[in-house]
Amino acid sequence: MKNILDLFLTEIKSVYKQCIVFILIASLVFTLSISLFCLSFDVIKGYKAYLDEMFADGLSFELNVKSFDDFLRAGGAADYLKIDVWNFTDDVNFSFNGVIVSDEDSEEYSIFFGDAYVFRSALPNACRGARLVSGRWWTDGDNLKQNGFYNIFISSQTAEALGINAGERLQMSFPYTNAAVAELTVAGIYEGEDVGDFVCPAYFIYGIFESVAATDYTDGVYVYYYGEVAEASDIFDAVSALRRGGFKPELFLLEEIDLVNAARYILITISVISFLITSFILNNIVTITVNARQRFIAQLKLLGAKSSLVAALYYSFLLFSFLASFALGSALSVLLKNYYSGIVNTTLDFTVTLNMYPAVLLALFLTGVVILAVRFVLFGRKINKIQPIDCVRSE
Amino acid sequence: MIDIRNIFKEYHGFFALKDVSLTVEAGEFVALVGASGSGKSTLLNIIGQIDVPAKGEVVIDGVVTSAMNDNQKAGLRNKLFGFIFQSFYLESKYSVLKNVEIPLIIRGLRATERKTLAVNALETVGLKDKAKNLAGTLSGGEMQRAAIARAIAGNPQIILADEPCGNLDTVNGGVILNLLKALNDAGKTVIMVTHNSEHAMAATRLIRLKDGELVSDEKHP
Repeated sequence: MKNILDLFLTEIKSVYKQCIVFILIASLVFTLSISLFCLSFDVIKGYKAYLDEMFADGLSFELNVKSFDDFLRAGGAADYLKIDVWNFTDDVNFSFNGVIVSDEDSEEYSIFFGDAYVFRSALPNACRGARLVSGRWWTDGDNLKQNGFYNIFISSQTAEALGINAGERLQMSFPYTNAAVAELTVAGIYEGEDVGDFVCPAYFIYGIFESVAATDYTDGVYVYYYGEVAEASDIFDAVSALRRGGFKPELFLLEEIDLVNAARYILITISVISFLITSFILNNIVTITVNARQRFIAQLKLLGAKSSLVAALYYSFLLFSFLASFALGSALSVLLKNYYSGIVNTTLDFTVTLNMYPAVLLALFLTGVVILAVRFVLFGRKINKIQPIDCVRSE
Repeated sequence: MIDIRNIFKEYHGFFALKDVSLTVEAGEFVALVGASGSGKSTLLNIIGQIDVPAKGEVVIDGVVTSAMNDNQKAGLRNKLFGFIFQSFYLESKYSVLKNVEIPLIIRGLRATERKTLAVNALETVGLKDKAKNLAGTLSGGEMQRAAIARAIAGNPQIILADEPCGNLDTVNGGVILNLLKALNDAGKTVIMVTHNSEHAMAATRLIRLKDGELVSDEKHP
């Protein structure tokens, strides 16, 4: 290690001029890369702060889908069943390995089937069983089986209480009527208690909903859902989640959100391109140096240097150049942050405070290190090809 | 002892060496002579583990070098051999001292030890006062002396010199030959390639090559 340092200190004296020029150019591009990368985060942050300030009570939005079934299917609940039996402790028990859990939180029950029909109503006190769609009643496990229901989604609290995992089968029993026990496979486990302990995934899959209510539906033609976010800034995630699920939320801020998001991606893209250019410049430092020093490398090998020593010598140039450019680029970015903020704030309605996130810088640094590691392998090959005899042949 | 056994070297169908065998005892001063293209430099490079033969083997102190890997050969070049070339191969932007230190840096010696050995070597060749000068500022004769200092700084047993006086005038050439003779007197094995028969007379043994073949091997006092 020490001999690499000794050689490095010796060799840098003969190549420092070209290194300095490259490092300065790389630093300037690096400055752009770092600044834009940080800015891309700060623009979003500034806009979210602006939203929270403007809409202190949160934001509401609507979803317009063709049918309730469409909503559930888009939510990934193609084979769904919702069974909420609330406030009927003796009606339905769920058990697994001798552990029994009952639900007793609500006075409402719902059953959702996978055929686009929905039955939803307040359960009369006199009702002792659950009701099937199409006006049929079901009272036991056999009935469920006949209607092709084998799966159920349960809350994490219930799963924990039962000690059951996804893929395992639980028993649903009806102790009040002593009806047949149903065997259901736990298709998934979800977080949250708002929607009950045993449901299909449609309501909870987007955790952003504080409340979801069907405002209207007529024979499965149109269904409007109303959602809201308590913190206005959460609308970013809500919109993203809904779009991933195939929904088109209706929201007056949508265009603005898209614009800010686009700005972020453009900034990140330019930043990444700048970073690649920086890497290219830095790599060229060593490529040019190695090419220019082929005879010297051959001479080092002739005098007894192993390939690994020579590779480490020139790799240390790359590392040094990277560190120098990174340090200089970071310093320049911090110096220029007010300038950048000024430019951004004159074109936007909200205020952007440009910070230099340590995490962002660290990410950039680590990416650089990965690039350097790849180059290390490539340099090793290039230097391996240079043989001691090349020193004599070049004469 | 260097034992060269049935060496062949081929370049694109042309045999630079054909079945060359010879033995060099420790402490000898051997001159390899012959016309240009006779294979003398090729033979020197093969002895110094700079080049590899197409066939045959080099045995140094009982060790067959063809069985060695690249790193082992590098170690051999660093410790056993000192190299001197017609074109010096000094780094012109390095100081003379730093040039002499390079093989010692490669060996991993500490700075103080390196400096002591390098200064001693420069003193041997009469260049101690130029230690801090850039190598590029030296005259041809001084450059070759610096190259000799680099070759001997690590105290190698064998000095391989390829046309060491080729780029020098008669006076400087004489100085270099005297240095080589002094090194030989000090116990070093010296193998020198030269096409100059006058320079070859400095050696105690004269091996002549012609068209890649060993044609004569003479000893003289």
